Amino acid sequence: MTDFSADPAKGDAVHAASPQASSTLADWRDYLALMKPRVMTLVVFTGLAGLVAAPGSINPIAAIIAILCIAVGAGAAGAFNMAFDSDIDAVMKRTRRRPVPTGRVPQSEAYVFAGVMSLASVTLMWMATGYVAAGLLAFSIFFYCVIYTMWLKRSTPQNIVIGGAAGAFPPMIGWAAVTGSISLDSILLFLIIFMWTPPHSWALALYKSGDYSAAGVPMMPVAKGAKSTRKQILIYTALYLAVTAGPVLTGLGGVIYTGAVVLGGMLFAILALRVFRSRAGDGNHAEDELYAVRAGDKAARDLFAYSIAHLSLLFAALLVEHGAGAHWALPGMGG
Amino acid sequence: MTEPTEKPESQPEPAYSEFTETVKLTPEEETARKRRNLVIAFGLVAFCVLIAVTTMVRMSSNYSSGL
Repeated sequence: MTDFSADPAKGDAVHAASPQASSTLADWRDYLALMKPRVMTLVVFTGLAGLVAAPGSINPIAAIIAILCIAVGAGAAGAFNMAFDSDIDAVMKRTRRRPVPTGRVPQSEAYVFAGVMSLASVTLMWMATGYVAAGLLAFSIFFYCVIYTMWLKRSTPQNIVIGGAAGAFPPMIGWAAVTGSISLDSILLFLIIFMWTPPHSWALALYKSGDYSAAGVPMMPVAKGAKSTRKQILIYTALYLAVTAGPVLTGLGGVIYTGAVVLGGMLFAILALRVFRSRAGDGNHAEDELYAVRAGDKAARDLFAYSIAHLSLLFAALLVEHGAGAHWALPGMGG
Repeated sequence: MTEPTEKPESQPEPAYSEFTETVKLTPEEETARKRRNLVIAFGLVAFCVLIAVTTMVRMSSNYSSGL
Protein backbone atom coordinates (compact mmCIF):
# COMPACT_ATOMS: atom_id res chain seq x y z
CA MET A 1 0.00 0.00 0.00
CA THR A 2 1.19 3.47 -0.54
CA ASP A 3 2.79 5.70 1.95
CA PHE A 4 1.58 8.62 -0.09
CA SER A 5 -0.98 9.64 2.41
CA ALA A 6 1.04 11.29 5.03
CA ASP A 7 3.88 9.00 5.84
CA PRO A 8 4.63 11.33 8.64
CA ALA A 9 7.78 11.90 10.52
CA LYS A 10 5.81 12.59 13.61
CA GLY A 11 3.32 9.82 13.17
CA ASP A 12 5.84 7.28 12.04
CA ALA A 13 8.10 8.08 14.93
CA VAL A 14 5.39 7.10 17.31
CA HIS A 15 8.06 6.44 19.84
CA ALA A 16 10.64 9.18 20.03
CA ALA A 17 13.99 7.65 19.28
CA SER A 18 17.53 8.76 19.76
CA PRO A 19 20.08 8.00 17.06
CA GLN A 20 22.36 6.39 19.63
CA ALA A 21 19.78 3.96 20.87
CA SER A 22 20.61 0.30 20.61
CA SER A 23 18.40 -1.92 18.49
CA THR A 24 17.84 -4.25 21.44
CA LEU A 25 15.96 -1.46 23.17
CA ALA A 26 13.32 -1.29 20.45
CA ASP A 27 9.89 -1.99 21.81
CA TRP A 28 6.44 -2.59 20.38
CA ARG A 29 5.96 1.09 19.60
CA ASP A 30 8.89 0.98 17.18
CA TYR A 31 7.37 -1.98 15.39
CA LEU A 32 4.03 -0.24 15.29
CA ALA A 33 5.77 2.82 13.83
CA LEU A 34 7.31 0.54 11.17
CA MET A 35 3.80 -0.25 9.98
CA LYS A 36 2.98 3.43 9.35
CA PRO A 37 -0.14 3.56 11.50
CA ARG A 38 -1.45 6.82 10.10
CA VAL A 39 -1.28 5.52 6.54
CA MET A 40 -2.89 2.32 7.76
CA THR A 41 -5.85 4.28 9.10
CA LEU A 42 -6.84 5.55 5.66
CA VAL A 43 -6.18 2.15 4.10
CA VAL A 44 -8.44 0.44 6.64
CA PHE A 45 -11.12 3.08 6.20
CA THR A 46 -11.27 2.75 2.42
CA GLY A 47 -11.08 -1.04 2.67
CA LEU A 48 -13.99 -1.03 5.09
CA ALA A 49 -15.99 1.23 2.79
CA GLY A 50 -15.42 -1.20 -0.11
CA LEU A 51 -16.49 -4.10 2.07
CA VAL A 52 -19.65 -2.37 3.28
CA ALA A 53 -20.62 -0.97 -0.13
CA ALA A 54 -20.29 -4.33 -1.88
CA PRO A 55 -23.50 -6.17 -2.70
CA GLY A 56 -24.11 -9.36 -0.77
CA SER A 57 -23.31 -10.39 2.74
CA ILE A 58 -20.33 -11.65 4.68
CA ASN A 59 -20.00 -13.29 8.07
CA PRO A 60 -19.21 -10.48 10.54
CA ILE A 61 -16.22 -12.34 11.97
CA ALA A 62 -14.86 -12.97 8.48
CA ALA A 63 -15.36 -9.26 7.74
CA ILE A 64 -13.38 -8.23 10.83
CA ILE A 65 -10.60 -10.64 9.89
CA ALA A 66 -10.58 -9.29 6.32
CA ILE A 67 -10.16 -5.72 7.59
CA LEU A 68 -7.44 -6.87 9.97
CA CYS A 69 -5.65 -8.55 7.06
CA ILE A 70 -5.86 -5.37 4.98
CA ALA A 71 -4.38 -3.41 7.90
CA VAL A 72 -1.58 -5.88 8.55
CA GLY A 73 -0.81 -6.24 4.84
CA ALA A 74 -0.55 -2.47 4.50
CA GLY A 75 1.63 -2.35 7.59
CA ALA A 76 3.89 -5.06 6.21
CA ALA A 77 4.34 -3.14 2.97
CA GLY A 78 5.10 -0.02 5.00
CA ALA A 79 7.71 -1.89 7.04
CA PHE A 80 9.38 -3.14 3.86
CA ASN A 81 9.40 0.41 2.51
CA MET A 82 11.02 1.73 5.67
CA ALA A 83 13.67 -1.00 5.59
CA PHE A 84 14.51 -0.48 1.92
CA ASP A 85 14.42 3.33 2.07
CA SER A 86 16.32 3.74 5.33
CA ASP A 87 19.16 5.48 3.48
CA ILE A 88 16.73 8.04 2.04
CA ASP A 89 14.85 8.39 5.32
CA ALA A 90 18.06 9.15 7.20
CA VAL A 91 18.67 12.17 4.95
CA MET A 92 15.14 13.60 5.00
CA LYS A 93 14.12 15.79 7.95
CA ARG A 94 10.59 14.46 7.81
CA THR A 95 11.60 10.80 8.12
CA ARG A 96 14.94 10.71 9.92
CA ARG A 97 13.35 9.76 13.26
CA ARG A 98 11.93 6.53 11.88
CA PRO A 99 12.93 3.27 13.65
CA VAL A 100 15.35 1.97 10.99
CA PRO A 101 17.42 5.12 10.33
CA THR A 102 17.74 5.71 14.07
CA GLY A 103 19.01 2.17 14.54
CA ARG A 104 16.28 1.15 16.94
CA VAL A 105 15.15 -1.58 14.55
CA PRO A 106 17.88 -3.18 12.40
CA GLN A 107 17.16 -3.23 8.67
CA SER A 108 17.28 -7.04 8.54
CA GLU A 109 14.70 -7.26 11.33
CA ALA A 110 12.43 -4.86 9.49
CA TYR A 111 12.61 -7.08 6.38
CA VAL A 112 11.80 -10.20 8.40
CA PHE A 113 8.96 -8.40 10.15
CA ALA A 114 7.55 -7.29 6.78
CA GLY A 115 7.84 -10.79 5.33
CA VAL A 116 6.17 -12.52 8.25
CA MET A 117 3.33 -10.00 8.39
CA SER A 118 2.75 -10.22 4.61
CA LEU A 119 2.58 -13.98 4.72
CA ALA A 120 0.28 -14.01 7.74
CA SER A 121 -2.12 -11.42 6.29
CA VAL A 122 -2.43 -13.06 2.87
CA THR A 123 -2.85 -16.55 4.36
CA LEU A 124 -5.54 -15.41 6.77
CA MET A 125 -7.32 -13.42 4.04
CA TRP A 126 -7.37 -16.51 1.83
CA MET A 127 -8.79 -18.64 4.61
CA ALA A 128 -11.37 -16.09 5.70
CA THR A 129 -12.68 -14.82 2.36
CA GLY A 130 -11.19 -16.63 -0.62
CA TYR A 131 -8.49 -16.39 -3.22
CA VAL A 132 -9.63 -13.23 -5.04
CA ALA A 133 -9.27 -10.92 -2.03
CA ALA A 134 -6.11 -12.71 -0.94
CA GLY A 135 -4.64 -12.47 -4.43
CA LEU A 136 -5.41 -8.76 -4.63
CA LEU A 137 -3.86 -8.22 -1.20
CA ALA A 138 -0.73 -10.15 -2.18
CA PHE A 139 -0.48 -8.23 -5.46
CA SER A 140 -0.88 -4.86 -3.76
CA ILE A 141 1.91 -5.70 -1.29
CA PHE A 142 4.11 -6.87 -4.16
CA PHE A 143 3.30 -3.75 -6.18
CA TYR A 144 4.13 -1.39 -3.34
CA CYS A 145 7.32 -3.18 -2.29
CA VAL A 146 8.81 -4.11 -5.64
CA ILE A 147 7.29 -1.90 -8.32
CA TYR A 148 7.04 1.31 -6.30
CA THR A 149 9.66 1.12 -3.53
CA MET A 150 12.44 -0.81 -5.26
CA TRP A 151 11.95 0.42 -8.80
CA LEU A 152 9.87 3.53 -9.49
CA LYS A 153 10.54 5.69 -6.44
CA ARG A 154 14.21 6.27 -7.23
CA SER A 155 13.99 6.20 -11.00
CA THR A 156 11.17 8.38 -12.33
CA PRO A 157 9.11 11.48 -11.44
CA GLN A 158 6.08 9.38 -12.40
CA ASN A 159 6.80 7.21 -9.34
CA ILE A 160 3.67 8.06 -7.41
CA VAL A 161 1.44 8.19 -10.48
CA ILE A 162 2.08 4.51 -11.28
CA GLY A 163 2.90 3.48 -7.73
CA GLY A 164 -0.36 5.01 -6.56
CA ALA A 165 -2.06 1.84 -7.76
CA ALA A 166 -0.79 0.02 -4.69
CA GLY A 167 -2.68 2.31 -2.35
CA ALA A 168 -5.80 2.12 -4.46
CA PHE A 169 -6.39 -1.59 -3.89
CA PRO A 170 -7.94 -1.64 -0.37
CA PRO A 171 -11.56 -0.87 -1.36
CA MET A 172 -11.25 -3.41 -4.17
CA ILE A 173 -9.96 -5.98 -1.67
CA GLY A 174 -12.81 -5.21 0.72
CA TRP A 175 -15.27 -5.56 -2.16
CA ALA A 176 -13.74 -8.87 -3.27
CA ALA A 177 -13.87 -10.17 0.31
CA VAL A 178 -17.67 -9.99 0.10
CA THR A 179 -18.39 -10.81 -3.54
CA GLY A 180 -15.38 -12.94 -4.43
CA SER A 181 -15.04 -10.97 -7.64
CA ILE A 182 -14.06 -7.69 -9.29
CA SER A 183 -16.75 -5.45 -10.75
CA LEU A 184 -17.11 -2.05 -12.42
CA ASP A 185 -17.98 -0.42 -9.11
CA SER A 186 -14.93 -1.81 -7.35
CA ILE A 187 -12.76 -0.66 -10.25
CA LEU A 188 -14.26 2.83 -9.87
CA LEU A 189 -13.34 2.87 -6.18
CA PHE A 190 -9.82 1.83 -7.21
CA LEU A 191 -9.68 4.62 -9.78
CA ILE A 192 -10.81 7.26 -7.30
CA ILE A 193 -7.80 6.62 -5.03
CA PHE A 194 -5.50 6.11 -8.02
CA MET A 195 -6.36 9.55 -9.44
CA TRP A 196 -6.34 11.15 -5.99
CA THR A 197 -2.74 10.14 -5.29
CA PRO A 198 -0.90 12.53 -7.66
CA PRO A 199 -2.43 15.83 -6.47
CA HIS A 200 -2.22 14.64 -2.88
CA SER A 201 1.42 13.52 -3.05
CA TRP A 202 2.65 16.36 -5.21
CA ALA A 203 1.09 18.92 -2.87
CA LEU A 204 3.22 17.41 -0.10
CA ALA A 205 6.25 17.18 -2.38
CA LEU A 206 5.92 20.88 -3.25
CA TYR A 207 6.47 22.03 0.32
CA LYS A 208 8.92 19.24 1.14
CA SER A 209 10.90 19.44 -2.10
CA GLY A 210 14.07 20.39 -0.21
CA ASP A 211 13.92 17.03 1.55
CA TYR A 212 13.41 15.04 -1.65
CA SER A 213 16.11 17.03 -3.39
CA ALA A 214 18.62 16.31 -0.61
CA ALA A 215 17.78 12.60 -0.73
CA GLY A 216 17.98 12.44 -4.53
CA VAL A 217 14.42 11.19 -4.95
CA PRO A 218 13.12 12.36 -8.35
CA MET A 219 9.75 13.62 -7.14
CA MET A 220 8.00 15.83 -9.67
CA PRO A 221 9.01 19.19 -8.12
CA VAL A 222 12.64 18.06 -8.00
CA ALA A 223 12.75 16.56 -11.49
CA LYS A 224 10.48 18.94 -13.44
CA GLY A 225 10.28 21.98 -11.21
CA ALA A 226 7.60 23.51 -9.02
CA LYS A 227 5.77 25.30 -11.85
CA SER A 228 5.29 22.13 -13.87
CA THR A 229 4.15 20.29 -10.74
CA ARG A 230 1.55 22.95 -9.94
CA LYS A 231 0.17 22.59 -13.46
CA GLN A 232 0.06 18.81 -13.24
CA ILE A 233 -1.69 19.00 -9.87
CA LEU A 234 -4.43 20.99 -11.58
CA ILE A 235 -4.73 18.50 -14.45
CA TYR A 236 -4.86 15.48 -12.15
CA THR A 237 -7.36 17.26 -9.91
CA ALA A 238 -9.70 17.59 -12.91
CA LEU A 239 -9.27 13.89 -13.69
CA TYR A 240 -9.77 12.94 -10.06
CA LEU A 241 -12.96 14.96 -9.71
CA ALA A 242 -14.30 13.45 -12.94
CA VAL A 243 -13.67 9.92 -11.65
CA THR A 244 -15.39 10.66 -8.32
CA ALA A 245 -18.62 11.11 -10.29
CA GLY A 246 -18.39 7.50 -11.53
CA PRO A 247 -20.20 5.87 -8.59
CA VAL A 248 -23.05 8.36 -9.03
CA LEU A 249 -23.53 7.21 -12.62
CA THR A 250 -23.48 3.51 -11.73
CA GLY A 251 -25.84 4.00 -8.79
CA LEU A 252 -23.28 2.94 -6.17
CA GLY A 253 -23.27 6.46 -4.77
CA GLY A 254 -26.57 7.96 -3.75
CA VAL A 255 -27.72 11.40 -2.66
CA ILE A 256 -25.25 11.75 0.23
CA TYR A 257 -22.31 10.65 -1.89
CA THR A 258 -23.38 13.01 -4.66
CA GLY A 259 -23.49 15.90 -2.19
CA ALA A 260 -19.97 15.04 -1.03
CA VAL A 261 -18.77 14.86 -4.62
CA VAL A 262 -20.26 18.21 -5.59
CA LEU A 263 -19.54 20.29 -2.50
CA GLY A 264 -16.28 18.61 -1.53
CA GLY A 265 -15.12 18.59 -5.14
CA MET A 266 -15.70 22.31 -5.54
CA LEU A 267 -13.49 23.06 -2.55
CA PHE A 268 -10.86 20.63 -3.87
CA ALA A 269 -10.88 22.43 -7.22
CA ILE A 270 -10.58 25.83 -5.55
CA LEU A 271 -7.59 24.68 -3.46
CA ALA A 272 -5.91 23.12 -6.50
CA LEU A 273 -6.42 26.36 -8.42
CA ARG A 274 -4.92 28.26 -5.51
CA VAL A 275 -1.84 26.03 -5.66
CA PHE A 276 -1.63 26.60 -9.43
CA ARG A 277 -1.64 30.36 -8.94
CA SER A 278 0.76 30.28 -6.00
CA ARG A 279 4.54 30.04 -5.92
CA ALA A 280 4.44 26.94 -3.72
CA GLY A 281 7.60 24.89 -4.03
CA ASP A 282 9.67 27.64 -5.60
CA GLY A 283 11.78 28.02 -2.45
CA ASN A 284 12.81 24.34 -2.35
CA HIS A 285 12.14 24.23 1.40
CA ALA A 286 11.45 21.44 3.84
CA GLU A 287 10.41 22.00 7.42
CA ASP A 288 10.73 19.30 10.04
CA GLU A 289 7.09 18.56 10.77
CA LEU A 290 4.55 17.14 8.34
CA TYR A 291 2.28 20.17 8.33
CA ALA A 292 4.95 22.80 9.06
CA VAL A 293 5.32 25.12 6.13
CA ARG A 294 6.80 28.42 5.01
CA ALA A 295 4.48 31.24 4.03
CA GLY A 296 4.88 30.75 0.26
CA ASP A 297 4.04 27.06 0.44
CA LYS A 298 0.84 27.37 2.44
CA ALA A 299 -1.44 26.70 -0.52
CA ALA A 300 0.25 23.34 -1.11
CA ARG A 301 0.00 22.39 2.56
CA ASP A 302 -3.71 23.26 2.57
CA LEU A 303 -4.39 21.13 -0.49
CA PHE A 304 -2.43 18.23 1.00
CA ALA A 305 -4.40 18.37 4.26
CA TYR A 306 -7.74 18.83 2.54
CA SER A 307 -7.11 16.01 0.05
CA ILE A 308 -7.05 13.52 2.94
CA ALA A 309 -10.28 14.96 4.30
CA HIS A 310 -11.90 14.85 0.86
CA LEU A 311 -11.09 11.22 0.19
CA SER A 312 -12.25 10.32 3.69
CA LEU A 313 -15.48 12.23 3.09
CA LEU A 314 -16.27 10.33 -0.11
CA PHE A 315 -15.70 6.93 1.45
CA ALA A 316 -17.53 7.97 4.63
CA ALA A 317 -20.51 8.86 2.45
CA LEU A 318 -20.45 5.38 0.90
CA LEU A 319 -20.14 3.84 4.37
CA VAL A 320 -23.14 5.75 5.68
CA GLU A 321 -25.24 5.04 2.60
CA HIS A 322 -24.60 1.32 2.50
CA GLY A 323 -23.86 0.65 6.16
CA ALA A 324 -26.68 2.67 7.70
CA GLY A 325 -29.27 2.06 4.99
CA ALA A 326 -29.24 5.68 3.88
CA HIS A 327 -28.73 5.00 0.19
CA TRP A 328 -31.12 6.83 -2.06
CA ALA A 329 -30.03 6.63 -5.69
CA LEU A 330 -30.49 9.69 -7.85
CA PRO A 331 -33.32 9.30 -10.37
CA GLY A 332 -32.14 7.76 -13.61
CA MET A 333 -28.75 6.74 -12.24
CA GLY A 334 -27.48 3.18 -12.07
CA GLY A 335 -29.43 -0.01 -12.14
CA MET B 1 61.71 -38.03 37.24
CA THR B 2 59.10 -35.51 36.68
CA GLU B 3 57.53 -33.83 39.53
CA PRO B 4 53.87 -34.45 39.85
CA THR B 5 52.07 -31.52 38.43
CA GLU B 6 50.18 -29.53 40.90
CA LYS B 7 46.48 -29.82 40.55
CA PRO B 8 45.08 -26.43 39.69
CA GLU B 9 42.79 -24.88 42.16
CA SER B 10 39.28 -25.89 41.40
CA GLN B 11 37.43 -23.11 39.69
CA PRO B 12 33.73 -22.57 40.10
CA GLU B 13 31.60 -24.14 37.38
CA PRO B 14 30.69 -21.49 34.80
CA ALA B 15 27.04 -20.74 34.71
CA TYR B 16 25.12 -22.24 31.80
CA SER B 17 24.37 -18.79 30.48
CA GLU B 18 28.10 -18.09 30.11
CA PHE B 19 28.31 -20.82 27.46
CA THR B 20 25.27 -19.67 25.56
CA GLU B 21 25.42 -15.89 25.92
CA THR B 22 28.17 -14.39 23.81
CA VAL B 23 26.92 -10.84 24.08
CA LYS B 24 26.55 -9.17 27.42
CA LEU B 25 23.32 -7.28 27.67
CA THR B 26 22.64 -4.43 29.99
CA PRO B 27 19.70 -4.88 32.37
CA GLU B 28 17.63 -2.50 30.22
CA GLU B 29 18.40 -4.54 27.13
CA GLU B 30 17.49 -7.77 28.90
CA THR B 31 14.19 -6.27 29.94
CA ALA B 32 13.53 -5.03 26.42
CA ARG B 33 14.31 -8.48 25.01
CA LYS B 34 11.98 -10.19 27.45
CA ARG B 35 9.25 -7.74 26.60
CA ARG B 36 9.76 -8.31 22.88
CA ASN B 37 9.69 -12.08 23.35
CA LEU B 38 6.40 -11.74 25.16
CA VAL B 39 4.94 -9.68 22.32
CA ILE B 40 6.11 -12.26 19.76
CA ALA B 41 4.57 -15.05 21.85
CA PHE B 42 1.34 -13.09 22.09
CA GLY B 43 1.39 -12.52 18.33
CA LEU B 44 1.84 -16.22 17.63
CA VAL B 45 -0.99 -17.17 19.97
CA ALA B 46 -3.22 -14.51 18.40
CA PHE B 47 -2.43 -15.83 14.92
CA CYS B 48 -3.29 -19.38 15.98
CA VAL B 49 -6.56 -18.18 17.50
CA LEU B 50 -7.41 -16.30 14.29
CA ILE B 51 -6.70 -19.41 12.20
CA ALA B 52 -8.93 -21.47 14.48
CA VAL B 53 -11.73 -18.89 14.40
CA THR B 54 -11.49 -18.57 10.61
CA THR B 55 -11.65 -22.33 10.22
CA MET B 56 -14.75 -22.51 12.37
CA VAL B 57 -16.42 -19.65 10.49
CA ARG B 58 -15.72 -21.28 7.13
CA MET B 59 -16.82 -24.70 8.33
CA SER B 60 -20.06 -23.38 9.76
CA SER B 61 -20.88 -21.40 6.61
CA ASN B 62 -20.09 -24.42 4.43
CA TYR B 63 -22.22 -26.60 6.71
CA SER B 64 -25.16 -24.20 6.56
CA SER B 65 -24.94 -23.99 2.77
CA GLY B 66 -25.07 -27.79 2.57
CA LEU B 67 -21.54 -28.47 1.29
